Amino acid sequence: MKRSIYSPPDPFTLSPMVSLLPVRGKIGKLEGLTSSLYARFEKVSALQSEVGSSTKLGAAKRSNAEAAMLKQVLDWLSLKPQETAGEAEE
Amino acid sequence: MATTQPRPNTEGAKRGYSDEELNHIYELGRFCLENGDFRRAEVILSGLNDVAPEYSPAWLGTCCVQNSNKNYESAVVAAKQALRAEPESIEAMLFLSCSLLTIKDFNAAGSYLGEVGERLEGGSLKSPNLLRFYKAQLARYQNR
Repeated sequence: MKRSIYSPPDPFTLSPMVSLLPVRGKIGKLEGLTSSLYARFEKVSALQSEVGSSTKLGAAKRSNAEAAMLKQVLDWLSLKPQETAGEAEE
Repeated sequence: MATTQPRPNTEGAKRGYSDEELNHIYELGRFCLENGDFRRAEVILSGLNDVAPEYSPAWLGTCCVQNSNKNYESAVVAAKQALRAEPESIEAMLFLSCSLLTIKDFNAAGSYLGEVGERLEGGSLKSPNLLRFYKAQLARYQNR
């Protein structure tokens, strides 16, 4: 069937690999995890300051990646969780 | 679009994160990828790879990020990690084949494509987009 010129482009044609990524959760439900994620962030930040003074480079790298991930999630949640989460669930 | 799939239990390798937390954080990473925010997606997915190395979808997302950054060797490593975490994942096999074709490792790519082809004959490839992607990679392999 011929596509309407007003219909949005097929996600596969825009970015094939991204469109194949499996769906595992719901972005809108992240808001309910804000407090636990914030607690984790504080814990990892405290751990980072401890590890920073030691020679455990592997542990420091891991906690840096985890802290950066949690910071991105918390930043996103503090931006505009309602509107963006709504869009994502559509 | 992709469909929701069950995934193997990864308890013990998640540094205290629940499946629910991992899934929702991953969804944010995927959302960022879909919207072209690759920088944020990379940070989120890289964090997931560190806290839950057995969580295959985050490695698949990392493979997308590395391909878009033109870090093709890293994309191969990410796809191999995804396949190691979930050996039956057709997405992981296809992402690995695609990345291997990009670095011109045609023999390895061909063997993974052959494996996907066998599943295709067995009727286990139901998503039309997976089929389209497989055919595209097969064409790349045949025109090498």
